[in-house]
Amino acid sequence: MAATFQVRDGVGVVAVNGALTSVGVDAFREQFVAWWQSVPDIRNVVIDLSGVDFLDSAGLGVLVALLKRVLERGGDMKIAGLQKRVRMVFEITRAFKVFDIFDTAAEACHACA
Amino acid sequence: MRTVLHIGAPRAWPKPLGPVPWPLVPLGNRPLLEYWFELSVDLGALEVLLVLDEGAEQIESYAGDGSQWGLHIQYGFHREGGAPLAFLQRSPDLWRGGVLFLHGPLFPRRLPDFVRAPPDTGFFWHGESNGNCCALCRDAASVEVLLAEAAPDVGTRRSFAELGLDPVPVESLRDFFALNLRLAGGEISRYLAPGYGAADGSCVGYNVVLPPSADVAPSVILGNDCTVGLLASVGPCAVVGNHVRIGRQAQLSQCVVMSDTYVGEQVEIREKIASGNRLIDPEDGVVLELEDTWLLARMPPAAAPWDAYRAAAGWSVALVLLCLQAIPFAVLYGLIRLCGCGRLATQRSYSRRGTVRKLPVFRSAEGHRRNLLVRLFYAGSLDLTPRLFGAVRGRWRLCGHEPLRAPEDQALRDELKVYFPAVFSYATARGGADDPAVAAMEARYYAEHRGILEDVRILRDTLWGRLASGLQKRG
Repeated sequence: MAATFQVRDGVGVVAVNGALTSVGVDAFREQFVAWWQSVPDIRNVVIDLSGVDFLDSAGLGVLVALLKRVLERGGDMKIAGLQKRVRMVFEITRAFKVFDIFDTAAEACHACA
Repeated sequence: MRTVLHIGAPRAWPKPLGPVPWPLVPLGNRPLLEYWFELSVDLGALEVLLVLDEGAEQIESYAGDGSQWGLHIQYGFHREGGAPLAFLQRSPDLWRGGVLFLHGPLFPRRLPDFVRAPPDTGFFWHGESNGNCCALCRDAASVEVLLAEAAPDVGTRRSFAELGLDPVPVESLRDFFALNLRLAGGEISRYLAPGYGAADGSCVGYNVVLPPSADVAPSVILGNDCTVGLLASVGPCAVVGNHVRIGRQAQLSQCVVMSDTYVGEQVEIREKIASGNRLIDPEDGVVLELEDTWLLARMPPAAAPWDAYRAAAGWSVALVLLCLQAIPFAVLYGLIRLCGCGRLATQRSYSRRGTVRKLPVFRSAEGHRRNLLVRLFYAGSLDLTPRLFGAVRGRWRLCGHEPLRAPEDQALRDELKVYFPAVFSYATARGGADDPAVAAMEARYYAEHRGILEDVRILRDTLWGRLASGLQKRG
């Protein structure tokens, strides 16, 4: 699992690649927290999962934890680019009711603007 | 009149559903084959010939001699390459009294105007002569037409629709799903109901636990031995197989849940097929295999009572063995590590529920296999002590199957009806090389012949065999 962090038009965009499972979630959470503290002006975040081919309940759990952090700053977090299998995990766990989900990161950024 | 069901040609599409040949895939909680049996009985064709190939053992085990349906079933074997009607043409005299013929996965869908007493004459045909087809001939003249023509002429044949039948091909997961939803939507009332039939078109099997807070929205088909959790919602249009546990607040609608599946708490399954820990999208066939057992899992088939006694006895023996081996293991393993003669590694193996667990495996270092410490370690079966710890924790049985490797042994895991990964197995008893064919044979044998005596034999052969072998080498 690898993640890249950048800021586009005032919106934080986190692109994740690989499988977001119990093996890599701790590292991802730590990376996100470190980056989040380094960008105090950013309130809205888009998590681009187009590079994630598998996600388990631990991966979902970390997304919920990140959402909580973002909401604490008064912002919002949106999810973009779900692959088929990842979308199925979101559906079975009803996570799509918790997150705003978009087809692409660009659409999600536009919604944040 | 006879029925010939030519159902041997294999199909790949049911594979994600589990190790079940297509004639046994459940439609409305009854195998596809059973609908043809029901039609045979309605037509008075009580002599049935099943022509089998793939899955023959499972189908024969299911259908038996047919007495359960009032039929007399005989078996033949499929020959590759022949045209569907070639089988009938080889022995034409057998069918003079009329024949109901099926070739390939077709479902005999009944229309609202289904005719239970069809006309005594006429040649009814559906399908293609070189593919999936079915035919009904009730008089000798019609049979002759059927046998004489490789591709029955449009002019002579009549449509099954005249009998109120619409044979539907089941050639994909999408077809399978659509048919199940159609049956759950109310069409099941045109057939023998699998369980108790309700006025709203639902069918509920035997031994179903349904709390008052659960919401069952018509119409649904619920199999036998199911448990529905508090505040769970089932339906509309849901087919739930046998021995399924639905967690609290779970929501199932427009879906098919195969037998022996656990659906976790608050899980939602909509427009999908759930089979064990697999979630399948019938539209595109995408399969998601979940390792989170609290979401979806394969339930072990309902165990026989003596399996529970065996588990209890095994746990007690595992505890005693662990107490006996703990100190020798600590001492010898410490020495082995100090000498660099070997170490414990892990191997990904399937648990009984189908998830993957790490199995501790002792690996001796290259060139140290004949080392005295390593030989003593093996002779005392101390390499199995970490697994014994797992057995005491309930992760493994004491005696049973050698844990299957993930994902290499996935096909065998799917094939086995019962699977008891254990500390001691035929593999530990024989102590031989890892031959996949032998391992598969042993796994199948244990699934069929497991018992306390078999467990005692495995335990004795492992402990005594290793000790004797170690002593012999020392001598």
